[in-house]
Amino acid sequence: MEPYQFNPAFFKDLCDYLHTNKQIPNDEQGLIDAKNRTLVGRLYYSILLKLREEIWEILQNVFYSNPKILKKAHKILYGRKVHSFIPKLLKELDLNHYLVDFLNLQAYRHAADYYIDPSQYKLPKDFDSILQLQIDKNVFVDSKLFNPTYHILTTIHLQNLEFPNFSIDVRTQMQQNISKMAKFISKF
Amino acid sequence: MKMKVITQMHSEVVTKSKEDTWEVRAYRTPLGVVSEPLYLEEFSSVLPQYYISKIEKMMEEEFLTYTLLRSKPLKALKLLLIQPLIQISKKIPRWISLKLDHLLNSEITNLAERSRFICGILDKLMEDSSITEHTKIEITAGRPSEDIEEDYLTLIINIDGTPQSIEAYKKIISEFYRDPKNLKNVMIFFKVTPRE
Repeated sequence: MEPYQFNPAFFKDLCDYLHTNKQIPNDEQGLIDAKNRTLVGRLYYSILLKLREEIWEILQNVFYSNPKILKKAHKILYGRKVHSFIPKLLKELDLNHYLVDFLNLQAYRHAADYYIDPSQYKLPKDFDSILQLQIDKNVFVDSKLFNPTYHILTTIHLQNLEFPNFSIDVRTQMQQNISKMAKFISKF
Repeated sequence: MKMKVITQMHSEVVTKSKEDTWEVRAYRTPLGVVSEPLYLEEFSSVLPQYYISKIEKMMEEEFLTYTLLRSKPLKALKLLLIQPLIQISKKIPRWISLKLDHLLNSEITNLAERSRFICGILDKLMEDSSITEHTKIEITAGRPSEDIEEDYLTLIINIDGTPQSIEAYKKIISEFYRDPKNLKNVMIFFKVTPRE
């Protein structure tokens, strides 16, 4: 029997279960806020961990003859820098459609985890040339705002990243830009 | 000595007088026609004063601020490039709004390509009332800080939160995602704005 290994997709399943079935008693605002922030956070990790594994597998194939790059990539992917590495990698590979999917999820997760007032959230500096993504102050506490947001994040942005094409596109782009990628990783 | 410049695209004839001022002897180009960036760059060097003043009037109508713009011919040229976007937002103003200041600070070639790409898609989407009734699109762009070397065009899709609006957002991004190569420097984000 193979040893048990956690599949991050269960984070998403748990989110869907909680979102659909777990009503907060007396509609207590603080608890609703906390629940929705938790949902967004787990949703983000369900995809972050999945993408990290896929990217690591691709890197091992592309840079099999370059242990130095692999060592550096492993250190980044399995450390705190993974949060900024993935969007920058997608930008570097010109995969902007996936970048937008990822940034949407990451933005809400950052707003949920680090900001008492989510409207204070600003996109990281590397992307602030694009737009100051606007997140509503009441997004996690007002169901009129949260439910459609959650629905969009799960059924559109998360789904796009879960699609098998993600791996194929990243692999293709990476193979076509090996030296650029090596430089990007070593400088990161 | 007078000099004639005949542009290939629209058979315009522009003359330069001895006093070194430009005047238009005859032109048939309607404002808003966007041609190849190369042609426009060439054209910018012979942009007639008449043309500039006409575009300036149009800029006043569009409530643009002048402070961000560097030179008259350049701003006129840029306005020409984004003219299709202006036209499309005028066709259905409650659906599309433009924040033009930053748009006019963008790189010319990039701006032309992105504008054309976005216009093509919006033109198609505007026929679908299920999209236009439940979403509002804000288009913005530019290179706000000097150290950033790229320009972006961004679409913020405001949705009203109804299931139809989520479906509409899905249709919009599916259309943009259809050919990802064109998405270079184009970003699409959503924002939930329930109806009052």
